[in-house]
Amino acid sequence: MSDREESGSPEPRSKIEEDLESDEEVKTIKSEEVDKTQDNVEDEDDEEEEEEEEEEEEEDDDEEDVRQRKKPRRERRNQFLDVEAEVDEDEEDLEEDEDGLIGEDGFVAEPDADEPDASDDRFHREMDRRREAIAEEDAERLADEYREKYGRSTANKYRGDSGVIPQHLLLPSVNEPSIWGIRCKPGKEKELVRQCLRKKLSLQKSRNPLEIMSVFQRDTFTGYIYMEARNQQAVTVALKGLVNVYPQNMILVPIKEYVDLLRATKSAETELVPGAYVRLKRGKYGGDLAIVENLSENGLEVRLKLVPRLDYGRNAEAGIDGKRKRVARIPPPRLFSEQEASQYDPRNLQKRGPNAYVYAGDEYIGGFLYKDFKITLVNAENVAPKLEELTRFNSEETDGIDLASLAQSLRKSAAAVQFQGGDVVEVSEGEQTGVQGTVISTHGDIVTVEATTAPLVGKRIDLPSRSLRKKFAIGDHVRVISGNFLDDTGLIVGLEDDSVTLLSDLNKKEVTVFAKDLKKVSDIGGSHQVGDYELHDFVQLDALHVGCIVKVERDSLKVLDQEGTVRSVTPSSITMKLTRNMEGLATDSNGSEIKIGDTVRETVGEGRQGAVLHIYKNTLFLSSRSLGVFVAKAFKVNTIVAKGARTQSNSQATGPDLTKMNPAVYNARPGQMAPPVMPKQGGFDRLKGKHVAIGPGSQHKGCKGIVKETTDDIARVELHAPCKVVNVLKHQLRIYDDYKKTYLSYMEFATPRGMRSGGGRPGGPPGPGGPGSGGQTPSWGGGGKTPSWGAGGKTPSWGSKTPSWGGAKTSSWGSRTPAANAGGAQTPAWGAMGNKTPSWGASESRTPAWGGAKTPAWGAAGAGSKTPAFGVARTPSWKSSSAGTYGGSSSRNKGWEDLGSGNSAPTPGYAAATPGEMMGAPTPGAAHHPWEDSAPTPAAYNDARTPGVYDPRGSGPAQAETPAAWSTDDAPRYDDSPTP
Amino acid sequence: MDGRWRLQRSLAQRGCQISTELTQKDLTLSLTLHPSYFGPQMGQYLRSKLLADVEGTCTGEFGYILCVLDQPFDIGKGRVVPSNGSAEFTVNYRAIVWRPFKNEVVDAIVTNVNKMGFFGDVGPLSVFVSSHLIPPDMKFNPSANPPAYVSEDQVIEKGSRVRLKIVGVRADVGEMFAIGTIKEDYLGLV
Repeated sequence: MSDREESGSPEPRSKIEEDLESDEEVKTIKSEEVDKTQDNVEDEDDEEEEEEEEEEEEEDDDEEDVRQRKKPRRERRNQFLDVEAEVDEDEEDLEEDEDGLIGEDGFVAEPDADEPDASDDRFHREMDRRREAIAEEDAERLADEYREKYGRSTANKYRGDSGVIPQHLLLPSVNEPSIWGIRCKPGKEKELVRQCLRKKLSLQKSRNPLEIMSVFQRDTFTGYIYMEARNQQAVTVALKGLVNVYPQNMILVPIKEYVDLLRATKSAETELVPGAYVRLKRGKYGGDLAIVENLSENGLEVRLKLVPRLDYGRNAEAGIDGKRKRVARIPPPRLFSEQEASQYDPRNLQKRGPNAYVYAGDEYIGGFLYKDFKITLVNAENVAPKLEELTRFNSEETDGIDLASLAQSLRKSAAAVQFQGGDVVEVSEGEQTGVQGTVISTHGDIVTVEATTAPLVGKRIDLPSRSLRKKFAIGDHVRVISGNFLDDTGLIVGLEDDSVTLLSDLNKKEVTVFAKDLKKVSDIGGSHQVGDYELHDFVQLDALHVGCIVKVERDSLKVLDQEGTVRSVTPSSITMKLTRNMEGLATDSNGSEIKIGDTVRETVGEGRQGAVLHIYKNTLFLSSRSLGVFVAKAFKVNTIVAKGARTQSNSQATGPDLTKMNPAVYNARPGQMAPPVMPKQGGFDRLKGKHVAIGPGSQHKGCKGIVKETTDDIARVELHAPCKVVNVLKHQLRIYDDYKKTYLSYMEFATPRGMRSGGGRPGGPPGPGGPGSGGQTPSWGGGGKTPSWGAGGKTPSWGSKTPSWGGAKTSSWGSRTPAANAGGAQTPAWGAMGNKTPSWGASESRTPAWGGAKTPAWGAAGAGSKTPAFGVARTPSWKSSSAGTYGGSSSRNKGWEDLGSGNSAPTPGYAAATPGEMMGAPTPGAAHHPWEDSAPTPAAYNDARTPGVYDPRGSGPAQAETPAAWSTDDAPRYDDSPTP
Repeated sequence: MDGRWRLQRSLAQRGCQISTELTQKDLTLSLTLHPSYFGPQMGQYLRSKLLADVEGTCTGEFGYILCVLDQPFDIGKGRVVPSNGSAEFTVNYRAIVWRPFKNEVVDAIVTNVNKMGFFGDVGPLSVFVSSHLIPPDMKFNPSANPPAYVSEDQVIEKGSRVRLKIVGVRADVGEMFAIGTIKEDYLGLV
């Protein structure tokens, strides 16, 4: 901001004028100054600029007035001497004299030029007159020009620099006032300039006006304001009393840097050319794509072609006070519609020609808005036009997208097209245009291409990456590597120029993107993953909700929960992924079993049909091509196709009926206990899928692998190195712990974490009976006599038909509770019992290895099932007494049922349920243990399905047999076994 | 069924032979059998288990396993897995497999028509023919019942039989998906 313009500065200027009236150069310097100042204020708002323009006009008038006023005075002077510097007869300020020095040039030059004709007056006069006339004319012309130039902001009218004056003459000289740069607080520059201006204005008429010519700041030099003055003293005076400015840090700007200082800054990047794509920085069209239509030659304004955002005054209703209310919503970009304009806002509409209108002061041609914008409002970097934006510019008359300029804009974008080895490319410019090839390698911007088309086959050519275009064929499987559809994959179904249409693997929708945003990928498997989650994965959302992922977006997932609502979740908000063996079984309306993969149809409602993706309790997640994924209730569907041709009637398909084939099972009668059927799959073994190292004792010692299957004590390990699957005893494995990043022994692994750290390892401290005594545990030793087995009928919990088994088979088994694995894997409890026996006793005491292997299992069984009761139970149930064992095991069954029917959430009922019964139930020996009450999950006793035995009232006698044995021998041992 | 089973259906397509190939492939599968099943019907059971497990599945390598052949079918000797009692059998069998290839011309039955194109089934394989790959003279008529692509002489609707050329195949786990075109000579409604 120059105070020269806005304060009463015409006066000093007119003095200069006065001196050098006839000197054209000076005026042009002035014009240059005007330019400069114009530049200075280019960042200011329009209004200010307008004011300024007005002032300028006034100024011009002033100049003329002054000129006229001075004329008579001029005549008083010696006509032959037109140099004032020498004959300083005017009563002007001394400092103005210095200005006059410029005139000296004239003085020096003048005599030289005139010397030959020194004697001839007339020549002088003639020449003077002519020059005056010219000067007069020039002044008028200049004034006109200024008016034209700055009176309106039509960039088109600009005719370049004043033209006639060579640039080098316009450069500042030593005679100009100096410019001081003064440090100030960054960000306060403009404020300071305004303060200086006000100071200058207020002191103007006082006795000590500020002797500064101008104050300005440059956006490019933050932390400085600049002051033009004759001497430093004036600057210091002017700055006195101002805050945020540090006059002690004052630098004199060298004259040769004036030009740089005051140059209209257009950064190197913003070299706009007509046709280029740019974006606007702010305002109504902020962020919008625009095409450069024309450029003002001063490089300050640019005429842009935009897709207008108009609501034709519909939303900006005039308020009562006539003021327009602020439009909160920016209307969407749409081509200008004359129809709408004339319908809603005809007052503002003027027709300018065919398809050209002026509406509300803006020009619309062919539906597009053409408007001048300040160059500072325009962003030419990282434009990256999007396809949908470009298509908006495609009206009927313009055929297609201007690929050349598009390429130009895209080239400028930071994320340049990236080529990778194997990409098929086509050369799009240069000598080799049309040549196709595959990318061999890239070095920075240079891409080595092996040509595959006719004349150059096999030749390797180095090409700049900008002259290459990726080439795809219909049917290619591609991945989107940038843009809105990032990471989408699909098969290409259509190609058009530079855009490619692909059928997304994800949702079978068509997506159109630029070829440059694509990368060819393998034909195998479009992966739709966010983190660990894939499309159609079954996930636990919270304690009550599970869901099936129906859509994978870039960083969120759409999950259909069991209630049929679709929610958008982030991967981090998902509790866990449910694996297949954690899912349940369900039966359809006919009672036949539904398995994953079956095709079912609803019997009610819409009769939708789909393949079973997941089963959650009695909720089925079905998928069909037309309906996508939906939820149905199991009891409301009919099986249409069972996977693997499994149907209820045709048992041949799945093999002979187990119950009939196995005589033992077949002959089992209620009341007569058959040996329990070994559950084929005792539950989910935590060991499965673990990375293990095989420890000593095995012939595969040192090998590493992944556990594929497990049995009681054997794991089938798929080795990493020799590609085979081997059987290894579980306790020989060392299991890699993902958290600790170390290998754990099997014992450590099988022991639930809480037990491991605490002192109360269940198997650890054997009873006082010490080793050996365990073996004699009569309850086990005399396994046959164990009432549970011997009189098997009375422990129906183990009977194959008892619901507890049903419970055991449900997926809840696999509920990952360590209980299930360790204890559960093959329920050693009775693996041991049913078989030989002393294992139990042994487990307790004798062989540590064995005990190690088993005990934690039990511990796990008890404590690990995640039921708080168990967790806190310190697993007394089994350890304390054999009755406890049973209580424990049956309760476990109950637990599983609970899990199966509910979820893996804690089954609090456990501890809570009728402890009183429990107290009475188990062996006397056990019963008096302090922890007894918390442990053995009376729920089991309540089990409605085994009432005969476990009915609380009946429990006394029922148990009595067992306890009798146990209590006698076991008592000491269990009694004293430390309670953790 | 003799050992050399090779079905070949050839179609003249622009002078070049492109055929749908059903190939025989010798494969093996490892089955684990519970002891309950040990007995005279074991072979039968293994066989039905194999059929249930394998037939109709799809692998990226071989494509679809369409049919397990009776011969050769070698169960071999089972090996009892220690401590478990289950027996592991390595079953060698031969199956007819079909893998769709790019540029293969196949006949399909249209299963679903929408404005983006139509889906057709080629046996177990689902093929999508995008509207981009349907001749421009065939227009989608959403008001027809059922919705159809209609040209002067052809109507492609659900249930129509079309001959199409596979232009892209993608193998997912357990299924394959293909893109086809009917925008070439001799393709379209059969």
